[in-house]
Amino acid sequence: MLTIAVKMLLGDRAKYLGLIFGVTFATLLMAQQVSIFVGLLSRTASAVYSVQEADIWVMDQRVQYVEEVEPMRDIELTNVRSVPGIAWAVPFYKGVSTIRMPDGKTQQVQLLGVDDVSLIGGCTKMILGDPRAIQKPQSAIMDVNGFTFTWPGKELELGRVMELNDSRLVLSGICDSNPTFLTFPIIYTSYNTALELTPPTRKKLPFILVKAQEGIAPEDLTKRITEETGLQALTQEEFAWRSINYILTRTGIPINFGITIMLGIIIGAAITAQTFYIFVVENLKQFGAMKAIGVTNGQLLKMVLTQAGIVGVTGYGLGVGLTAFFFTSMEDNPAFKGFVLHWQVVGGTAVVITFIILFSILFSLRKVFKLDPAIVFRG
Amino acid sequence: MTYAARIQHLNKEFPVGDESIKVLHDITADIRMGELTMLVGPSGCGKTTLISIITGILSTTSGDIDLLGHDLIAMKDHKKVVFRRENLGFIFQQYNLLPALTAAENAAMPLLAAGVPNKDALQKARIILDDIGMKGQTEKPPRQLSGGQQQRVAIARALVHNPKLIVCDEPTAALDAKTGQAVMEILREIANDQNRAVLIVTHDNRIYKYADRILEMSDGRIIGDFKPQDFINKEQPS
Ligand SMILES: Nc1ncnc2c1ncn2[C@@H]1O[C@H](COP(=O)(O)OP(=O)(O)OP(=O)(O)O)[C@@H](O)[C@H]1O
Ligand SMILES: [Mg+2]
Repeated sequence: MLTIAVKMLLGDRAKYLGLIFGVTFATLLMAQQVSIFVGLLSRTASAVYSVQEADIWVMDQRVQYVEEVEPMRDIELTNVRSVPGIAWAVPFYKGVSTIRMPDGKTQQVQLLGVDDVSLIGGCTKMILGDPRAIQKPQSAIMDVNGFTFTWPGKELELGRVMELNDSRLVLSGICDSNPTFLTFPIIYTSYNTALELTPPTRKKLPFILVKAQEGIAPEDLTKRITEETGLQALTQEEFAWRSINYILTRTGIPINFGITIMLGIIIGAAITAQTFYIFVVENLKQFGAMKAIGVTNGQLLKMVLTQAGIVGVTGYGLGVGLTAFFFTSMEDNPAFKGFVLHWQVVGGTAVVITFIILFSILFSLRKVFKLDPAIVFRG
Repeated sequence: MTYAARIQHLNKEFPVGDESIKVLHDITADIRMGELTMLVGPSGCGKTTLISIITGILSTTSGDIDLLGHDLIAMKDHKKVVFRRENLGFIFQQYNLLPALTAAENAAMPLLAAGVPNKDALQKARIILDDIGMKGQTEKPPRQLSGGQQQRVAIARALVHNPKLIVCDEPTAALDAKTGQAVMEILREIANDQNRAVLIVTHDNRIYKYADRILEMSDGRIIGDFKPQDFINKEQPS
């Protein structure tokens, strides 16, 4: 009987393709959108985690997530350094600027200024040059994705010249860095160079990176820092999660993704349910004949489940395949760097698709179960 | 003489809104093995309702039915389904073949439903199809077959599991005269030579001559039990 179920399904080519399309569509939209969303969140966290050495981030009380900058007065660095229990505390500049090429083209960049001596928060995975290169004045390191974005098709090379707020800056290193929420090229300079490059204002210090002394819990130290300085101090973990939570609760991003994903689910479910229903209604007389002949409801259930299973597995497989293909083909695109198809997403999509399919066959099954085999005798 | 079905004082009412309409009135009749019995009568007199009840597809309002030695009234619904699968063959006016399946697969349906392995079921179906003039057509889907050929597939489906009672509702209504005759030849042979009971509901006076016995219905009652020639003479006095 299951062979018959398969033949019935495949026999109606148009509806079969319609069903597959519905499921593939829902799978693709869900898997792809969820992956991108997860990728965005992990990028947000990665801006925090990529400064591995820092246990604690200190910032203005108003800062809600890692991409927000509310500069503090320079004196705060001294204040923080005087809190007992601190191994070291270094300034960390983070801001968005515009660079200008010799040919006049401009380009927005993320400017990161790291402590001149310790280089904490700077790049670690150098591709060209030395991380200490930024200790020289007017020197900058750029991330490799930023380089290929700024100079497409050009060999990686040092010595390129750019201008940032009318000051000359020479490219003295290229590094690999984790992609962040903002997709602009990243330019690393020393903290002092960053201050020189940006307009002089009273407050210029965005973050202070802190390491706790051996044996002191960062959680306790954050409280002490806040008590003594009035600043906001968060452990690495807290700041990463706070940043993610900010994206989740304070921006329209989850809603946008949610709407797309819901649309995928609803449209996919509607197409599948409706096509299945039409398939059953068109074959109602045949189902009635089978019931009259002596095919039980249990057997019909197995048949419909087999058909649904085939549609589900095929459509889901295609959908996940297309999603994987999408991410693979985007691998070299910096905008999608770090976006991968997590197995959790693959599994979660499978669960949702199963529900969509069960929902789809619900009405059809009801129709078949309630079907009075006496209809076969009616003209 | 053995009986395929014995019906006693059968009544059937259909609920229509708050009322109910009585469609069968105190029907008492026998269907015998080895005979082709025809059930005839004007449209709406209750023929389809009666065969639906005899085959356990519809329930009765009151009365007794002995079907192939079993008390049909006492039988549970799910038992009836299995009982039909094992003991009854059906031929419908619309052939109700599955378009995606071949002739042989359609004909094998009752065996497949009973759990017979695909290969055995198909082989059995092919033998029967060959027997009733479908040699070379067994692997075609219904849409490549003529109406008469499709009805033969339906006949094969009704016979493949060796049922003792075969019930047909207007089996020739959609066929031309010649094809209808050929189908009736097959059905009579099944009844007479293989000692099964064939019960046919029909309007088609061209096929009355194939009956061993004709039961006439009118307005929910059986009003006569005829030899075919007597019935033909009565209908068309020449
Ligand atoms: N499910 C039902 N509910 C209500 N009335 C019904 C139902 N089924 C049949 N009837 C009525 O019962 C009567 C007998 O119907 P039935 O189909 O048995 O007649 P028939 O002799 O087979 O007619 P035909 O020759 O047109 O097929 C008709 O008046 C019909 O309207
Ligand atoms: Mg009828």
